[in-house]
Amino acid sequence: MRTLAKVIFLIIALATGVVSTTLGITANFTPATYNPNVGESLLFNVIRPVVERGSATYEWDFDGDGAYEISTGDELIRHTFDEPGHHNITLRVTATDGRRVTRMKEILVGASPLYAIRTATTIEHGAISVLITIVAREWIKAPGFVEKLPVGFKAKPVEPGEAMGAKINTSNNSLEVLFSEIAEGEERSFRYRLYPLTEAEAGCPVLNGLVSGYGTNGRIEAQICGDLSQY
Amino acid sequence: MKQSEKEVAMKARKISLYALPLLVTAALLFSTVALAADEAYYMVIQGEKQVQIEPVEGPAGVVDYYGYDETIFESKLPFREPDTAVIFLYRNTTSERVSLIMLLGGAGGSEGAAAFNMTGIPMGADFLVKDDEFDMRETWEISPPIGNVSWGWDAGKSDGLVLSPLEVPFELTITPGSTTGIKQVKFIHGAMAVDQETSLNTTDPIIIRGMFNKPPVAAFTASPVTPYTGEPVTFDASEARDPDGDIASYEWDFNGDGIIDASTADPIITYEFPSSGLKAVSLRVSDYEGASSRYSYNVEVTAPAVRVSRTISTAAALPGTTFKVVVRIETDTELAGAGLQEQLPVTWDVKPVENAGAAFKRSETQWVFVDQIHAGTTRVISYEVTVPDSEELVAITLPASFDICGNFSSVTPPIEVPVEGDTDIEVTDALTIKTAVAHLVPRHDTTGDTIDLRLSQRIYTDQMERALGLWVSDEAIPGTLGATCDLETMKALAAYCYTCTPVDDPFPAVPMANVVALRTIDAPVPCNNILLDYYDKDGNPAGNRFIVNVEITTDQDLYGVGLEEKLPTGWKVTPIENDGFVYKETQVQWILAGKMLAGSTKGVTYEVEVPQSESLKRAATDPCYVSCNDLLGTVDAALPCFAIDVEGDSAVAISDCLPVLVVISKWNTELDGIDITLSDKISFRQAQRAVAFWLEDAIVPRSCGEKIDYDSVRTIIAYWLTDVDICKVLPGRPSSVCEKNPCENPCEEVDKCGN
Repeated sequence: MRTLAKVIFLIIALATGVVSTTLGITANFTPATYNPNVGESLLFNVIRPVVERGSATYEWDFDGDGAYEISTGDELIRHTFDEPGHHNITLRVTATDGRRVTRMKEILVGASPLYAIRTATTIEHGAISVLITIVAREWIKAPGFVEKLPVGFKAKPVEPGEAMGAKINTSNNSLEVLFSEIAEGEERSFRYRLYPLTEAEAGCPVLNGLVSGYGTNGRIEAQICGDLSQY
Repeated sequence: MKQSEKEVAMKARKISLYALPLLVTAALLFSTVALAADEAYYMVIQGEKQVQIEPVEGPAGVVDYYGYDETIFESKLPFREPDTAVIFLYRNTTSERVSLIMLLGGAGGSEGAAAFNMTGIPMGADFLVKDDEFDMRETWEISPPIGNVSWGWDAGKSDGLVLSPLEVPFELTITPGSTTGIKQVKFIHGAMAVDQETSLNTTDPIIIRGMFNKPPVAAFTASPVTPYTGEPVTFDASEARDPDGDIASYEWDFNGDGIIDASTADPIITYEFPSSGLKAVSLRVSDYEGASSRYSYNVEVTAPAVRVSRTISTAAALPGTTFKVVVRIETDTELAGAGLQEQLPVTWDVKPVENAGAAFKRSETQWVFVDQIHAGTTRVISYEVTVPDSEELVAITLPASFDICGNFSSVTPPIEVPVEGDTDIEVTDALTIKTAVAHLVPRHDTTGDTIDLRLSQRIYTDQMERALGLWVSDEAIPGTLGATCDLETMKALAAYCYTCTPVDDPFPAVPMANVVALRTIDAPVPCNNILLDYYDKDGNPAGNRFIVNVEITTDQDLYGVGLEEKLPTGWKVTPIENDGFVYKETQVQWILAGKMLAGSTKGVTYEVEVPQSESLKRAATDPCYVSCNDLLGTVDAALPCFAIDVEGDSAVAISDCLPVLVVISKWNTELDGIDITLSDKISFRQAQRAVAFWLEDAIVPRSCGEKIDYDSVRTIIAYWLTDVDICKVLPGRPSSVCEKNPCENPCEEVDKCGN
């Protein structure tokens, strides 16, 4: 098991090219849903980091104030949000040898007929693969999203899915993607890649975007949840 | 009788110089020898016609010369002409004998007959040739000094005679009798090589005179040699001489037209040339024997080198007003004893302003220069004239025309010239607008506008500006009895002003211009659409205003440029940029206060507000109401005179709805309604909204009852993706939304309403 994990880690580490900086330690987690109801007890599941020896400490910042209010060795944790809206959740993983990594994800509290999840993954040569998944809880007409493109990167759609159109809007440097409709309970996804204009500029871009569409009560607009940067 | 006495006396005088000792004994003999040695002169006379002639000469005897051919019974001479009597003298240069030859008819002529009676045949003369003596139709009778001859000849044939010898002096008279087949008589003279002839008639007696008299020699002098027009010129022909007698008459032709202008016995005559130029003056002198000669000389006549011109400060005057007269005297000649005399209507008061060194006599309106006026100088006399007031003019119906005329003269040189230039002055109750403006004194703080007719006929910029002000406010021009300016008048005034042309002169000649006037309409919604019943976020009407720009370009200088725009009644115009033009609100007219330079461009920009209320009433009855209105405009100028239509945008469509693509481009997704201030491009959010409209299958608000169909949504997405202005054609597509301008065919759009 350990040996296998090591092997997998090495493969991942080599593949992602971040071996030198975060060798042997990652931080990742998934919420049970990115769009919980207000007052709902939400389960977070830490994707177990690969460490060489011993276990890690998991610290959580659920209220976004920069302070970790919970410190635990458990890989599962529950939290209830009482305020609707967007919340940033940060997980800090500390290995026994003291090395630390953090990861922040955004969720939307309060049931929304439309929301979207961003998953950003670093691939070779500093390029980032971004997957946007739009989720409809009711019939959504003309769903789409606008991603603000980070400075120093060039975007290129790779999997348009069922999009009616995708446009790099050079006037405000954003990616605009429009679908025709999503039926209740269905999803649409769209993958694009960000390539650094120069190798040197490949840093830690901040990702930011809006998903929108027309539902039963008219226009719906929400920030895209999930990763706010690449990992 | 007198003539012959003189002749003898004169000849005796000539002889006496050489032969005084022999005079008593040998006078008669000597004189005879002298006479024989003298050259003879010949003349042919018929009525008033008197021509000196030379015999045709030849070495042959006259009979041989005539060359009567006994086989064909005709002369061989080449002078024969059909239907003509040819007469000439022939001198045998061997024997010095002179003969008369007559030839009648010739090849190609008709048959004919002629009879001539002759008197004065010299003793010893006879018909040496009778062409043809044997012809029974002919008569040949001679018994000097009388004779009779008659001929008859066949068609194409000729007859003739030789009468010889004719000893000088003689005077032979040939009187034509009944002649048929003779239409003219020609007298040939001069050397055979020189074709000279004199035409005579077929009825009057022909006198052929042979004499020893010499013709006179003509000569004259003119003083001054280069006279001015109107200056007396003395022509002196005292130098003309008759070598063997005296001159009987001097006949003058002063202009070379061949008509004798004066005929005198006195060699000296004076003449005044009425016009300038090179004049061929010709003198013919004749002696008592009727011999004459001619002499011609070209006299260059110049117009007097004095120019006197009058300028009257106005073409029209109101009763009781004062105007100004300026007389300019320019001379290229030294003038002494010069004076100016002006004549004005009686009772008009004259007040000298500038006398230029002359003494003024009021009662006669005369100026006399007490000094010399030097060549190349100019003297300017000016005076003011006051027109009697209306009471004094009561007998005259106004307007009435009066003249001011005058002349300028000098003693040395003796010149008298009329004063040229302005003469007319009209007395009137109402000045014309241009006269009034040229004499306008713009108001000051304390005074109103006044008229001063002493000002020049030119319009200056301060007067032009005031006139523009009066035009804009529709006020009357002073002195005109309430006349107001229209655009035409204003353009003319501007042309006078900026070309510095006096208002009583024609405009200067200017090249024709290529002028282009282009209108651009910037409407609040694409395709020149006016959107009624639309209010901005503050609740103010916003879709009913549009901006118009008219750009004028010219390749030549323009004066008095006007722009007139015609808009539907009730549409309110507010100028934004006049670019040097003056705007008149009541007429939607602009006039350029200045000269428009060749190669320049001027642009007038204005905003138009379409009245909301009135049109809405009409629109309410039909939800798809589209009203099309055309803006019409003209640009014209006074100089060069032209008028052109304003080209470019003209149609404005008024509606309370919009094409669906326009609606989407103006859709504010935040407010979920239209905002006409948005761009003509489709954004992501607008495309998104359009897709939602399409899926909802709903009528798009503000559209003319339209839904977004499959084609429309794809078009909208295409505009979003390509960032193309909706008024422009999509790449690879044949047309844009503006191709379907509702003004092209409003009903096409209306059909979509489902009615």
